[in-house]
Amino acid sequence: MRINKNLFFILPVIVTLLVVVVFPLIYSIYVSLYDYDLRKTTIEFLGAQNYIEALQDKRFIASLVRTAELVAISVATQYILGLILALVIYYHVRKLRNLVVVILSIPPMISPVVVGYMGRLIFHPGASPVNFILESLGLPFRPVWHASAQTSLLTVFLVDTWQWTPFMMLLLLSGLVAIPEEYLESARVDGASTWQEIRHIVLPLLKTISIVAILFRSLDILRIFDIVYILTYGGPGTSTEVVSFYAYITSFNYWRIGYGAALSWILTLILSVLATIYLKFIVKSF
Amino acid sequence: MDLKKIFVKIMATLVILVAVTITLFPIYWMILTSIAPGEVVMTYPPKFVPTSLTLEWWSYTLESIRDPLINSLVIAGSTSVISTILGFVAGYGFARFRRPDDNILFWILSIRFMPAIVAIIPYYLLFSSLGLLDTYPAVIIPHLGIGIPFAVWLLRGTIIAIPKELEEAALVDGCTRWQALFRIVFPLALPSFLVTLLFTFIWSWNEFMYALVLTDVRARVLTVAIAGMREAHGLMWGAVSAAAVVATVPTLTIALVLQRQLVSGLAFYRTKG
Repeated sequence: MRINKNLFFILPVIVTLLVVVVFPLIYSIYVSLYDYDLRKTTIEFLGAQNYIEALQDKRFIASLVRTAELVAISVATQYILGLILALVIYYHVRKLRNLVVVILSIPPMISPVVVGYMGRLIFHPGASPVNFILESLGLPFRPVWHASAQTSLLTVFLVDTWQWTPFMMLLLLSGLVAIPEEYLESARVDGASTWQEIRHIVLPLLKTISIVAILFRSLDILRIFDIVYILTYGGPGTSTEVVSFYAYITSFNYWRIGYGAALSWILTLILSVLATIYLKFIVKSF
Repeated sequence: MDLKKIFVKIMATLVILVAVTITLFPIYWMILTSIAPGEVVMTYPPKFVPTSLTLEWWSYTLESIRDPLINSLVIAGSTSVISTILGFVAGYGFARFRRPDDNILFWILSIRFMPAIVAIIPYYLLFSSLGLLDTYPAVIIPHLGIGIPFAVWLLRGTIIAIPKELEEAALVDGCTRWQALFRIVFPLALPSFLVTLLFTFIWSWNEFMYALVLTDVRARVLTVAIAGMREAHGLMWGAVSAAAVVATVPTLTIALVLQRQLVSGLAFYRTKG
């Protein structure tokens, strides 16, 4: 009995993943082709009808646009803040560096459910400590945050940014620490200022890791669900209804499971394009 | 020139102070809410420093979240043990017998980016026809889909760095592959093995969406219980805060232990050098 070593050790994992991931995905495609509705007793084959309906569904398109907006503003903000923090820590924090990094890396480890709940405490319309601070600073606005359709998406963005800016900082700092000393020393010998050093040497060297960080966060925010569920439940109205949330309530509140499966497949296709680009970049690091 | 240096130093200190304050304040606020007496919880203007403390929320909460807490421990524990053991064996296979740019390896990594909702719908239908909804396997099975890819990637990276010669010597001495794997490679990979156990545990412990749809009362986990308390006890901020603190304690402890591995743990990414 001779089994090919080449496959033997990886076979258990491949079989498990085929059962727990691939099979459900195929089943999900099948479901998306039917008028699968848990309130009805019969199901009818629709072909691509669910997908055609999705592309004409204004509420779905709005959720896609909203998710894209959230990705754009969150990733840009988190990247810039993370870069500033990483540079400040790299250049100016020596003795306390470990302590500062430990404290700043707490948020990404906390469950998004807890983070969303913290958002409700901090931005509670009637008792917000943030509003109290704004008021003490003499600022003229006292928003009601997630309770208003005007500011609810902003609140989701603030909460997500609180949780994930440290992640950008960690990735970029690990990139900074990996830059060989000699590169920086030769620039200093040539009389470059810190700013010139950052612009001409450090930032170009951070390019790959920046792309990795930005793509990774984009992929995560495209799927955002937990914070929205806890903080706003998609509301007020549909003001924070992101794609995952719309697919969720379509399937499990309105019970249109076939249509929900089609919506989730459209999201999956968008993600797989970005994930392919991400994987291309990550090959370099392994 | 010197003035400029001092100015930059002050600005840098200020940036760090603000960042640390913003990071810690919501956590402080949540803990404070869990031990503040009813009449000062959620009042305006807020009380930043407590004048009196109470444990009434805690005694209520510990009673009501006992079952979800046990469920979370069982589900996260099973997910992490199964994922790490399978990931270790496969990580060895990939490290020793497959090319570094193996397509299967990248297929496994890509699962990390699958949106949960696309798998939840078929799982819901399958588990409801099998009578598995609201049981431990209903949550553990989908969690393996994320735990295993993570374990494979982390452990493959570790094993590739262990010199082949050590095993080859053992093979020459008459060990089988499996014996070499568990007697030679396993002890050397043990630190990474433990890191993988902890990360997969935390991921499963923190997860919400699969658990929300695939459980009801019997197998309800802590994150779902917290979300449920928010709806059922709209005004019991202290009690929900106490539950949220309970959910956060293990993650914070593990985050402190895993400080050095956080980047690769969170991003499946490691920097060279």
